[in-house]
Amino acid sequence: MKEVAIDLLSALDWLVLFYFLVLNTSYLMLVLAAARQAGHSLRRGPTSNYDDIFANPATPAVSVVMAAYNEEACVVESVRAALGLRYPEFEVIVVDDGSSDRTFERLRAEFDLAEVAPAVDPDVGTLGAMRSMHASTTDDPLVVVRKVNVQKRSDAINAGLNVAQYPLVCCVDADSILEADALLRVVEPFVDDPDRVIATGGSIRAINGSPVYRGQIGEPQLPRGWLARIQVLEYLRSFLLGRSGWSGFGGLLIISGAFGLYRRDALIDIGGFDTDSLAEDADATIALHRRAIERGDDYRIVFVPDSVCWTEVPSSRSDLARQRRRWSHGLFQVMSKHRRVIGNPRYGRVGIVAMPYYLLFELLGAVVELVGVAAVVLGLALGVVSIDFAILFAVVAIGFGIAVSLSALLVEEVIYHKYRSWPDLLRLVAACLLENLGYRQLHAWWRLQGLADAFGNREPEWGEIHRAGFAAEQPAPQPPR
Amino acid sequence: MTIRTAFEIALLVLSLTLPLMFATLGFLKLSREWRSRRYDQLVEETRPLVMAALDAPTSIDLSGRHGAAAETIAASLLPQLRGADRDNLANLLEQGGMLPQARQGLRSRRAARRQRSAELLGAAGNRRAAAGLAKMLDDRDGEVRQTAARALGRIGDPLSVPPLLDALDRKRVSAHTVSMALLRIGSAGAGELTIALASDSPRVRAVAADTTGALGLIAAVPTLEDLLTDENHTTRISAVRALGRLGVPTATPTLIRRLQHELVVPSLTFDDDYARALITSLGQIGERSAIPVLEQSLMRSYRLSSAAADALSEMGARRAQHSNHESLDSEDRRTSDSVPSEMSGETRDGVASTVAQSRTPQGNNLS
Repeated sequence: MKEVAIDLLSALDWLVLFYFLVLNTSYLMLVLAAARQAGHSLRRGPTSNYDDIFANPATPAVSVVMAAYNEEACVVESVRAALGLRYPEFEVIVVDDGSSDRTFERLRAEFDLAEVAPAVDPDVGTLGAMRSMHASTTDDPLVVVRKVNVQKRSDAINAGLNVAQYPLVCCVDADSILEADALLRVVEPFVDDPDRVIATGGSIRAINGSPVYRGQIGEPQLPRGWLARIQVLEYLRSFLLGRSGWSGFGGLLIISGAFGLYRRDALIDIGGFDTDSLAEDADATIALHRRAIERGDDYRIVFVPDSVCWTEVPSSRSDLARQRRRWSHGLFQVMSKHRRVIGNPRYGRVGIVAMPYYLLFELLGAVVELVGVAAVVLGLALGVVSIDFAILFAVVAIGFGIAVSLSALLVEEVIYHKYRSWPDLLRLVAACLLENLGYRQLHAWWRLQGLADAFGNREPEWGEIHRAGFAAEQPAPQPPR
Repeated sequence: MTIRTAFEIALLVLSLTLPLMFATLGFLKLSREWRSRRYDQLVEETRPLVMAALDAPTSIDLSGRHGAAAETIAASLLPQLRGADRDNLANLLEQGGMLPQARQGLRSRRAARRQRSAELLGAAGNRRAAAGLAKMLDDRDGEVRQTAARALGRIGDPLSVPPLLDALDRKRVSAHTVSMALLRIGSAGAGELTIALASDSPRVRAVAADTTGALGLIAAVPTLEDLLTDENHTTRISAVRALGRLGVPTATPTLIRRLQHELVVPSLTFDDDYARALITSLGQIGERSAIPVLEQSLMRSYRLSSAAADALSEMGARRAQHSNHESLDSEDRRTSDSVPSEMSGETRDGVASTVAQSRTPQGNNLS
């Protein structure tokens, strides 16, 4: 009996080892691919293209759609940041998704809103009825749509999409701040390759702790709490370098809901954002891939790493847990909805590489990670694994994780260099260690819970994420370089 | 190999790699700070040299490390300068050898060097490089081709118009980049642009239409009116936009006819973008005869009615300005006073509230 257990555990160990090897190697490859692309841009030197995009009357106008639900703490700063974007022609559409706080009142007071007739012929269906529409009577190109909340962010974005007047639609979160030239940068692929590009996404960074003054972010600083600091590192590795790597490969599956730019007609073509999905951003990106491939279009979906959106990340454990459970649940929904694509050669790299990768490593990663830990614990209990082997296993697993995070940090230091002080760098190094000593295991547990919710068909917990608002005390911030 | 051996090898690799990574991170940070301090110091020392070059470039000695730094600073300043200042700095770079090197760089095997060279030569407005840059519109690297097209625009030589349009036709360079280059070249290229309006290529026709409108080439109005029924969607919209920008009142009847036609076509063939462009252009031209069809548009979809409200608002604002009552600030534009008085009372009240949505595009800044 014991021999069978030993054989089983040994096989499991090999499996887990192989899995970790492939997972971490793929992370490293994505980081290296992103570094290669960033290095390519550096070698090409500064470009005058952004000035040309700004000056050219032929630059496509953009509708910035911002969904807001109980965002009174930061909505005015976010809207001000959007209105202050350096871009030739755009409008900002805020969809107040049935907020119960003073989100709308703050906007009305700040931008002198006046009610207008909401005669909208919807291009995409919405669940929550539109209650009223308001326009700024200051000189700002701002429209505020008030609608009934149905606890679906995608429904609010769809309501904004119906009101959007321009050929490109930029979706941003109301708890986010775009850098002043973010729109110019994220639109560049559209103007350079207008026949093929259907969507672009910018990078997302954590704003907690950084000063904001009149809608502009100052010198970026790391958040105070370790939970938020670890997320800085996580966003850097996964949202910046990971997506950059996938984009270069032609397999970008997620354009973050916090900052994405789409051709309006392409979004309408897929029926807008799926209101049944908890990961509507990933769902929309995959739907765009599918639609284009099924029609035989020559198309591109591009990630623009130097176009930056700063967003407030959860700073409490309960908020973070709820967010990650929802993400995991949402990813399951997306994989389930688009299961025909997984492994299907008809969908090229998206079907053969990207979707299977997301299934095996992003969705099921938590299961394997916890199975690996459980196998070692079980082995210890049965006496088939020695204590020194268990320590060896843990050290190697943690060491690999640290190496991947450090490689991401190296790329950040060489290419982007957003955090300039030595203390911030040292804190990020410490976050590399802490991430693998507790956070990662906790994260895997939350993802597993999300998966269990999905299997059990349970409703996700929504609840509000506590917003601290932006730190606005800095009188004269330095723009990030 | 046992599982333990595999883990031990992994541990060995990690124990070598991790310290190396920590050390590299620290080294990179230190070296960045050192380079940054050194560069700041050099900039401080050489700034007077560069400023002096703006007035008298021949008096500057470019030998030594300060000369090299001055060149770097001058090159970074070039894109922000125009006229005599730019010429003086460009002369400084010509004497120092940076521009001749860049012209050599156009033939480099490395795409990054070709691109950097093209960028610098464009910023310097270096006419001697125009022929080489025109050849680069066929470069195998897409980014290099785009940069070459931008550089040709900044140099402003009208002889560059045909190669730019040719590159556009063959999809070697994007329409956006070519249109900006043509705008920078300006009315010196008007002759070629007028010919391009009749090109066989819809891409060329569309860009030529947009550019003639932005450059104010009134002579192109009859051809632009013909393009309103072009078979190509983009060209039609470009022609409409151009007529709106030109603001020639004689185009109004044709635009009204096209809009009336659009408003009665079956919904399947209805072209929303085209109709919106027509409405916007009628508002820009501002003729009273357009008011009935704009009122009619107010009763259509949100996107059309909003555009019509904007157009009527713009017409009212312009009329009020024209009447010299008082200067209109942005707030006044959104009151009922800014709605044309010729409108029927009911529509006038309705539009007065809808007008509040009128969007004010940020001014384009052609620098």
